[in-house]
Amino acid sequence: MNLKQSTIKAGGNLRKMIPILVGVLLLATLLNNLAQRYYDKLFTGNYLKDTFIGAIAGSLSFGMALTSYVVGGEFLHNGVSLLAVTAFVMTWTTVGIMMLPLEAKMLGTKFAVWRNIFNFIFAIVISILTVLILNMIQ
Amino acid sequence: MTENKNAKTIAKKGRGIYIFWSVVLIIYIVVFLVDGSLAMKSLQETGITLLKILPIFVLIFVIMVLSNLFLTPELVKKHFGKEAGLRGWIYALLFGVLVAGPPYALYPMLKNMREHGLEIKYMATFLYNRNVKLALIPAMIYYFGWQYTMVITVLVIIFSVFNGLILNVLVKDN
Repeated sequence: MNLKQSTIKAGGNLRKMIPILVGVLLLATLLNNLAQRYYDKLFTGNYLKDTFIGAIAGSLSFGMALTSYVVGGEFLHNGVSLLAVTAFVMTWTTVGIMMLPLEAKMLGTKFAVWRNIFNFIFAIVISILTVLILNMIQ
Repeated sequence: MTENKNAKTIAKKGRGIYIFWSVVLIIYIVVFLVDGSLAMKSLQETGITLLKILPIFVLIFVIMVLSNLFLTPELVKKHFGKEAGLRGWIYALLFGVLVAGPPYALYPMLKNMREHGLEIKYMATFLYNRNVKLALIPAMIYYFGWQYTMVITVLVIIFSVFNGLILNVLVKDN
């Protein structure tokens, strides 16, 4: 493939990608703003329920990983369990419900769906293991 | 017959984007009617985000052109294809940790590499390892402590391999 062909192909791919990305960003920003209003009310104090809630909240959130640390740090400060906060931080970076349409379009629906399902499950498993290991070594 | 089928598939894919945008539009209209300030704030923030990521689009375009030019099927097959073996795993782990930037910036390159023979297991492992962000490790230590950061980093790397293996079975190559 020469430079001209590469440029045309890249332009075509970008043209397909941009409309989905803009739509996804619109939805993600809306959901983020909505979720932020209820972050404080989300957690119940129940260890297991909060882990699941944290994982779902993280899956629906979108943004830089650093933001998840800041929000997670705030949660910890407000008494939310480390397990729930870890699930939140993990799914924030590994699960992208809002990015699913774009991921499916670019990498295939089956891949995108299964990847997100397993990343959600793994996020909870990693959270449990992290807390267990920390309890053992501390 | 096959041409007819292909035309139908392309038409179907083309419709998808219109349906998607209709859904986005309907959601925004409903939110605007219920809570106008929320809709306006979200629109403004999306605009700001788009302005911020504009340079990323240039980068994506350059990466796409370069990957079209240099990531030949032979090269991809050798390092990330069926015969890559241990080398493929090491590359997927290393590049996953080292490559920075939002995941959507990498999708076009990965799509291109998939067309050239990139194995599902390496792609999944690469994407999962992008959660170990070297630049953000100090921030994670600041918020959660170094022991926490160490434990979670090691676990993410281990689980990235499980992720790759499982997805490789579930998402079979056509």
